[in-house]
Amino acid sequence: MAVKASKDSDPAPSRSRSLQAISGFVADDKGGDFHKLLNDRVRLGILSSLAVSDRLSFSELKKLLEATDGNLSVHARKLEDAGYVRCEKMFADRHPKTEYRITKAGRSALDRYLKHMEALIRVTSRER
Amino acid sequence: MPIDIQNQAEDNLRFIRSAMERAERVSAVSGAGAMAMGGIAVTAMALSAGVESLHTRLLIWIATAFLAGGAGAAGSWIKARRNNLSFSGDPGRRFLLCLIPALLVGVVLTVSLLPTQQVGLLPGLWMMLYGAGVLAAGTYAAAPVMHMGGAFLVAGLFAHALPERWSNVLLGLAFGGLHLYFGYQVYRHHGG
Repeated sequence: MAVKASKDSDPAPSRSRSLQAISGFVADDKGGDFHKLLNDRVRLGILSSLAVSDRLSFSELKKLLEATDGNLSVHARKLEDAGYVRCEKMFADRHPKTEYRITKAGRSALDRYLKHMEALIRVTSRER
Repeated sequence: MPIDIQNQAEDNLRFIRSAMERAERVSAVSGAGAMAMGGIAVTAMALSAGVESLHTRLLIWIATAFLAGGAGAAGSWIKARRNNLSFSGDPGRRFLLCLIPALLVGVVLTVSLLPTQQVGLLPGLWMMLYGAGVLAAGTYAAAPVMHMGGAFLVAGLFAHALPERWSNVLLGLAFGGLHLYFGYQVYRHHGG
């Protein structure tokens, strides 16, 4: 009861707890800062697109995200380095083709990012 | 300040949803396959136009459904292969999971109603059940697929409201015309 009274009179502890809960989403299991990685529209777009497709080629991703070759390859490489996407290079009709697939870690990172966004919306809605 | 954070978070969620929707539109349903289904249905309408017996006409349409289903599946398989996508990948699987229950209900109702006096209800039920299935499955496909599902529902309502003699034309217009029109939209704007 006393706790409830202090909550009602001072919203700061509850706010601090909420913010703590949000910050809990920010680091991934390996301690990596996945939030920073996904806080870029091209990288977030790559991961979101791959989450609903079995695989997407470089040109499909480029068209979907309206990105340039250089921009897309830089961001895709960052996701690949983080282990969120897997890149396969092959030849199709004698032309080189690059395809991307999301990994289990990438799917989990996107899931946590979504939960983080939802938590942010919940907390900030309460404060409005 | 909290409002800015909230707006940004909402904007990020909208961006993720939009990226997912655009990506799904590259895969799954084949516009060419749908057009082939439409072509088969138009042929069936022409074939059954001169047939007097309602039962025989409906049997022609049942055979057409299997043939057209095969053409649609083949179209999706070819499209998936051309785009180096798995035919049984996530979007395709979810699409089928939404479509199949309505089709199964259609099969059960067809078997139950075919030998009865209520057989005239079948064309409208077929259109509405197919429409319901396609509308649900359209959540995982390009926008025209969902619109086609809605159009089938409306066509089914017309079939129920109009006299039985219109059923063959309505089946042709719905399964032929709608597949041809929306199939072309998918073919033209959503990767073949």
